[in-house]
Amino acid sequence: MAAFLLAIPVQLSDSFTEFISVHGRSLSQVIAAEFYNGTYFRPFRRALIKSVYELSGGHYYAAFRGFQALQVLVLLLLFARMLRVRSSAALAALPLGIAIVVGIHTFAGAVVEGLPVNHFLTILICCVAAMNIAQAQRTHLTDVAAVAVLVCAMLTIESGLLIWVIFIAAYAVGYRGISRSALIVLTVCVATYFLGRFVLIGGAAPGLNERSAGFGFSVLNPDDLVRRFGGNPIPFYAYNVLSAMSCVLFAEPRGGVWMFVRELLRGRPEPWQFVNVLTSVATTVLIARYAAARSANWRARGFDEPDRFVIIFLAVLPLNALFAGGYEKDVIMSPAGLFYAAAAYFVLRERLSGVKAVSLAPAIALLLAVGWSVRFVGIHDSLRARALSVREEWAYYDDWVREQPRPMPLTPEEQAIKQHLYDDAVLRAPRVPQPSLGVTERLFDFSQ
Amino acid sequence: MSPRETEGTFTSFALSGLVGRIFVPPLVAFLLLSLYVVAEAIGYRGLARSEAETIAEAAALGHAARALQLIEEGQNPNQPQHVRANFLDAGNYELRPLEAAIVARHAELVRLLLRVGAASFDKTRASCLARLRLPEVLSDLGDRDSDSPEPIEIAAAFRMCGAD
Repeated sequence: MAAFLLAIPVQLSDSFTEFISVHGRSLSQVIAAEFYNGTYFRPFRRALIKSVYELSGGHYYAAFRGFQALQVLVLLLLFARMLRVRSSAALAALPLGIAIVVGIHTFAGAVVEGLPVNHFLTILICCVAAMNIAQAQRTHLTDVAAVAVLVCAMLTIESGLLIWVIFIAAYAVGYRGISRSALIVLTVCVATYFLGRFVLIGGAAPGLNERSAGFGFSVLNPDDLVRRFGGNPIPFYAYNVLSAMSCVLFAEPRGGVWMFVRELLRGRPEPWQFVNVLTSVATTVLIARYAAARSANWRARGFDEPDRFVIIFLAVLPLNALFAGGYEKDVIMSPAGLFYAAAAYFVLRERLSGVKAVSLAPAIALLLAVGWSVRFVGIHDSLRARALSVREEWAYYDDWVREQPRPMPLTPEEQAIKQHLYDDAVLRAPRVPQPSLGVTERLFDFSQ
Repeated sequence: MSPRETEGTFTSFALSGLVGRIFVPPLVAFLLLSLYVVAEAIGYRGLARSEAETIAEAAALGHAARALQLIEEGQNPNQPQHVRANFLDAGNYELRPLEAAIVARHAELVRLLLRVGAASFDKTRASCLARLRLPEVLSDLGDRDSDSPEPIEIAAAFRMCGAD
């Protein structure tokens, strides 16, 4: 995957303006400015961008693209460590576990977008780091690390608050990597966050008029949203929360839009939609059957490793979905997608170990493995397409500037940054071949 | 590790073929991807789409960045260039980049090419092609807008507007 990520230049949208925002300001100024950013409270997001920017020494492409590749590597290493692969059955299930975590549609937004440091990817790393801490031998260091991970995550993006959920859920199912005192400190941190953000700073939740959002079979623009839900937005928020959960479990809807159902009704569903929906449904049924079979043990508080991960996934899923209440976007659900992959891995591992808690017909096993493998390859195809689209984006820089809501006059230094990024993307970019796989390509999710 | 897990039962399941069904497909996918990356790194292009070698080919594909890269490398955006078969349709053509962009219906690229210096062209022919294939750029070419119906086929457009 690193090879595919490194073929993508630093993107123009959502990246170039970030460079301009951090250029010429100190780290403390960058953080301070983000504390009072209205509906969004993400001071560490730009701090990380600023740090990589300063460390790049002007080699933006190498620094930012290399950083994202490194983040993916760290994520996968921590994910594999979290799975505790210590038996033949575990080893046999590992490739499929990795294929699910990379191939699931909620992960795509964490790698396809640069941003230029993808904060969703940062949160995923925090999630697996939290689980590794929870699984570790308890020391003062694990307590301190837990607090540090939570603070960094929740100040990076709102869904970073899920780290608290992960620690609480992990403790509830028997992981003792952190102490009860540390849990209290974590809870105080979360309370302080809400107090600070909504009382002291006076921030507000994003309104309906912020952006377009999927609803039913189409995307509604902000005016439509205000017209339909301005009087009572609760049904819209509830729709988004339920859609977000369904998105993880069944790969439908996507971005709040029931694309597969819509195309089925029109009689023209794409092969990739069948691949996505069928593999997700089959995997969800497998996890659900395992949970049903083990629920009696859970009530007796008898948890082994697979039980713990399935329960943590069930805890993370609805709470993660709350962050998609304003508008449903697949990547917001990436933490739930990650734990979905872990839960599926453990259920499969149990089956391979001979545990009868859940049955799995050989044909279904093959369907699952092939389906997720196709999705795993498909994300790489999307990354290759992204390399081309980012180059094209830069080629039309002048048009992009014209379309901005505000004029974008650049200082000479900013102009130099722009020219550097433009040259990297357009003039100096390596020639990245676009794969031509014929009808096979229709199996890959081109929408991600 | 699960207390219920044993190597003995694993072996029995391995024999039943379940392990193979779960283990092999993602492993094959990973190996194929790795092989693809290595092969590409050493220059293999067997699975790649044809890449533009001239500005006109880049314009035919709508690849603006590649077009700008080729201009930077010294190709002349005002000269007729070869466009291989399957870039526009099944035919081979000698076209100016601007004409290729018009015929392939890439309006933004037409405007971009004009901005970067593809300004020396056969106006009559370009306008004729635009009228038949992409009326929305007629004003960019200094011509009046036209309410043209659906774009006609590429080969037919060349027949009507004359070969270069």
